[in-house]
Amino acid sequence: MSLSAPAPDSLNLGGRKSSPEHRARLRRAIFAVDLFILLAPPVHWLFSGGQSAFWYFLVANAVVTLSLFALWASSSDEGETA
Amino acid sequence: MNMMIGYGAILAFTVLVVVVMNRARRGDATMSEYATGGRSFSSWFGTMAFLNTWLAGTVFVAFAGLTASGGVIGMYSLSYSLLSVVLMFFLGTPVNKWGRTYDLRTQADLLGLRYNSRSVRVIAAIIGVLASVPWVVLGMQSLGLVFSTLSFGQVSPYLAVVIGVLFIAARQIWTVKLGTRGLIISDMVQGLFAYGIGFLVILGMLVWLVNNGHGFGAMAPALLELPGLGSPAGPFYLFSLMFTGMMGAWCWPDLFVRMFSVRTPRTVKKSAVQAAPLLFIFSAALTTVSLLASSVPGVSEAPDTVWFIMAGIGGVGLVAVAGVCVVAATMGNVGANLQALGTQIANDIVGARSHERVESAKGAKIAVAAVTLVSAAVALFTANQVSGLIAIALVSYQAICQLAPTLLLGIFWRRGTAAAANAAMVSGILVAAVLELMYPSPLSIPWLGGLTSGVAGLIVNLAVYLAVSWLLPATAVEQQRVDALFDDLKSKAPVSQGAAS
Repeated sequence: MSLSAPAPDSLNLGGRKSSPEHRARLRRAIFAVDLFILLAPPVHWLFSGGQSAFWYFLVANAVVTLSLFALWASSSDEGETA
Repeated sequence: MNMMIGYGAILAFTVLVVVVMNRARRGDATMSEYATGGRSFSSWFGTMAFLNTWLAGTVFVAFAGLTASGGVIGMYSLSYSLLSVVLMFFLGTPVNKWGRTYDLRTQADLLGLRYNSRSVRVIAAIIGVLASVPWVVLGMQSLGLVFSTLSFGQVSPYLAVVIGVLFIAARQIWTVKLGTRGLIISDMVQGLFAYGIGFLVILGMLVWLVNNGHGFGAMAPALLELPGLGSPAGPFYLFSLMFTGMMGAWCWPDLFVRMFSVRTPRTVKKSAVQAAPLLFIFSAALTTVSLLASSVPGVSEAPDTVWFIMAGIGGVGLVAVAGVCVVAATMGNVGANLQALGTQIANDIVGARSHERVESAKGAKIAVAAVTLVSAAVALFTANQVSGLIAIALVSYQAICQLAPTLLLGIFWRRGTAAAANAAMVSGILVAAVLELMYPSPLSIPWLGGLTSGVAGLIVNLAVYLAVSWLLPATAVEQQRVDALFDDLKSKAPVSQGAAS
């Protein structure tokens, strides 16, 4: 797996320049979604019985894993190398 | 013959680890070099150091056993582990950048800088040491199961614990000598075996389980239920387990210092991004095997041995490989803990007391050796009283979580003060300890909807932190100093890098 440094406007889907503030808001939103799908008790209650509990853990954690790649793509520490 | 194969495999693996560590040996006369490995490691070393510190040998034993006996709720550890990785991504910039700029060596060192307070630094260091030691002792004792299993009935369980403790204590000779650099190099070898080879073993187990009728249909239906509304544990029980795990993760001194050891803030982030899929794939596979194996004969009677029962299907060779996986994961966790605790004692308790910045690594090496000897002695003397030690370890987990508001708000919020940090840590620990004694883990508190003592302590802790910070704000001079610290983080100046490893 190779993670190349993303361009500053790599999440620039609409063609406009994405500002550092916009990307910071996006990262906070991703963090909030991660917390919600893994921590929110109502979500746990929704999948509390049968095989759905197993699949909930699997899918929710897969989504959080993928969110790390979105966080990486939205980070913009230009001038630094990893 | 079987015992020779089992013990021989552990010996051969240990020799391999020590040889690799010695080949990477460099001078580490200074405290900073000894504690951080020269802040020189690449992202893959950062990834494996995180995994080998976080995923201790207990994931194959106690956590696998919890899933085999308790069912799907055992997957909560995967959830809080991944949330910890997400937190690592956000912590990367402040922790690594302040660490390099101000030559920070430990978690308590960072708190001392942020709050400009010796008392915050010392209290945090003492909490970290006291909470970690029971886990080090349990980690040492947990190898007893490995040495007992790999003896194939030749060694009594008590003697196996003694052998395990002596073995892991002897392994620390190289931890003391080589410090963080040696640990991180060894993490790579140990991690590749524990989670790489371990994953291949898990895949084989999964195939066997599915082909031999141990699917979801063979499981007891109760094992597929989570505590929901109206459950005896309480509706917030699962939330509490995950929240405590996530908040507590970066409070462990051994895990936290890993963020000082890599080159740049971006390296920490890259380490987190690389760790997430590895953690997900490995942990999801292991918990799935543990869950499906609940219907295998013998597992329900001794769930903690599920890993070895499954390995036994493949014969002596596979049991030996499974044992080495546990040993490799334990080596990483115990070594990291001992090194971090010794360094924290020398740097933040002895150093802060003498009002001098410790520059020589000698004190830290002596402290690591002393903590190793004390932990090994406690492990040997309590080898027959493991249940009492587990109770202390569970209390200590609820205690160390109480560092979280001081640590995380201190890093992400400018307004927190030293007075708030001290009051919050002390009040949180007191509330958590009292409730833990009344409702010992894994019990929840019925009148709080299933919250655990740690979460109740965290609520009080957070309220005290915010109230004191707002009611007794920092002086103008202190606020200016803190603002400057945070403003440093926004500078685009490239972070200078250490020597390549």
